[in-house]
Amino acid sequence: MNVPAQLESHAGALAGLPGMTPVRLAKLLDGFGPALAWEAVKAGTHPADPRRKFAVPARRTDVDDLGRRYAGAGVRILLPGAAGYPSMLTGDPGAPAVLFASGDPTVVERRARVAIVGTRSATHYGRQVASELAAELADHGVVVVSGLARGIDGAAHAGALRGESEGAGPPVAVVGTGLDVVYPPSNRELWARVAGRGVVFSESALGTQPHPGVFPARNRIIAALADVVVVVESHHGGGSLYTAEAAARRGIPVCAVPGSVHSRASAGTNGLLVDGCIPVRDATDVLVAVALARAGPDARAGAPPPADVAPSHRGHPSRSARAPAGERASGGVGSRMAASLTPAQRTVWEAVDDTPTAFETILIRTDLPLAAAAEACGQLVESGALRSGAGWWSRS
Amino acid sequence: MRVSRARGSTSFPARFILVGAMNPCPCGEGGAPGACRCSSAAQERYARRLSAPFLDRFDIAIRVDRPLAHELFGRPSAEGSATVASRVAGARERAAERGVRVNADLAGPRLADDAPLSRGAVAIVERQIRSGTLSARGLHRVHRLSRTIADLDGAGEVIGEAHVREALLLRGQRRLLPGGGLR
Repeated sequence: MNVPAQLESHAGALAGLPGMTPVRLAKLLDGFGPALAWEAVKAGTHPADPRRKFAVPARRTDVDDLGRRYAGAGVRILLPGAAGYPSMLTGDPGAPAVLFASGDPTVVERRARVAIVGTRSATHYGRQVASELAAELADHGVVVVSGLARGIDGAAHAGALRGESEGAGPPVAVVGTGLDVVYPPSNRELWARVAGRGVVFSESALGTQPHPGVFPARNRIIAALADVVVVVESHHGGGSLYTAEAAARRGIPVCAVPGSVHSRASAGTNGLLVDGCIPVRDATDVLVAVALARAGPDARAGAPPPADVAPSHRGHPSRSARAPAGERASGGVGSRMAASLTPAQRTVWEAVDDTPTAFETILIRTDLPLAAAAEACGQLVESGALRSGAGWWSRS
Repeated sequence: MRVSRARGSTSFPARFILVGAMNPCPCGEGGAPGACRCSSAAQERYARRLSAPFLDRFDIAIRVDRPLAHELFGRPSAEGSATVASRVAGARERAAERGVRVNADLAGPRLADDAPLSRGAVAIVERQIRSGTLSARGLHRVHRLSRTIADLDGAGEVIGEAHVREALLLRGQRRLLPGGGLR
């Protein structure tokens, strides 16, 4: 068991104070070493904490005990400039002041890195493309970076883990929760395999539960780690467009996978293509983009610096103004609705594309008993989520 | 089989189960996006070869898609024929207890007693009728079909929501073209 040194333990303790955000943490550590910052916070004399809101919880924290907790969980605490901290994050204006890692953080060094991101409520098409792209890129030694979320993220990690060649690129994940809080729980096995063969990063302290704020902030790290960002599927105004935006601000090329113009899950990605992002049909398109990105790092130097860590809007600014009100409303319905589905309904919903799917195919993809699948299909048609006709089911 | 015309009516002895298969369209891809090469006019001509009244006699219709290769492998094998046969025998026994050979022979007026629907199942059927997706004749056929599904399921006398849903789904795929006016 490698107990972290005092510096790291103090940094972990600061990150774990209740109400801590990446921005506040960066301010507390700005100009202070972790140990000094910790003592100042505890004493209530830290200029970045004038209201002393962190002083009381800090006094209740046993730093040594906390260090042992991190060691016990197999989580390393990485500080900028120190060993293990990803070199491409150093100098990034949005760089996390403290980064937690489970697995080997050095796998991101000296390898091409591609972020594959997209919507959580992905279609079968999206998941298939994400998985195929990731598998082939990994086979070419590329590190596939994603967020271990449902949908596209999970498919990308699963694909990357399928990479068969000797020098397959190790998988890398950046998550929003603490590294001991697996979210969504259904990705537990995937999470362990990514940490086992590559690394899972987080800027949240152990015990941090999922909440809406952590995910956009997490997306900037995914973008900053990558040479190229590929958005596979995204709804209009979807969270993965934030990753695209964070990449664009850093001068990192953004690619998008085209989808059907009838598919809501491709509304965001098709919009990116209209805005001039690089279209991706297969892994070769991505590899070309990666080669160009790595050949011309100067292109990044001229890019405007990234703005704040957590921007107020998540939409795609140039598109949102043009979108008709009806479409914007319906774009959100997907995710809101997904929350209210029964497990069987969700399974069926995820097995059905925007392209017509036969019931037999739904059965094969879901492994549900006939009656359960029939019931879920009927209910989804009644609630308006699915459309059926002539033996085909598709998302409405 | 009884045929009634103006001059009289004749009975022909007939007792059979009709099973048929056909391609969904002339090229066989069935309008699957990217694969089907048929024009919509060709699809319509093809679909019209089977009249709606004829198709209406089929209680179960399943559209079979071409699964992707990777979806075919590593799947647990299906139930064996012996298991299914014993379930069918059980369902036939239940029908015999109702005084018929198969549930398809249950007379309309007896459905309420021999095939009671749960409250939720009634609500589903009512919604379908009100929205015009189920006709009166369709209702009776769905009712008998759900009776058999419940029997095969080893469920009790009352037919549940899932059984009706399954019957509706099995009967609802007879049309070859979306929007064909068949109920």
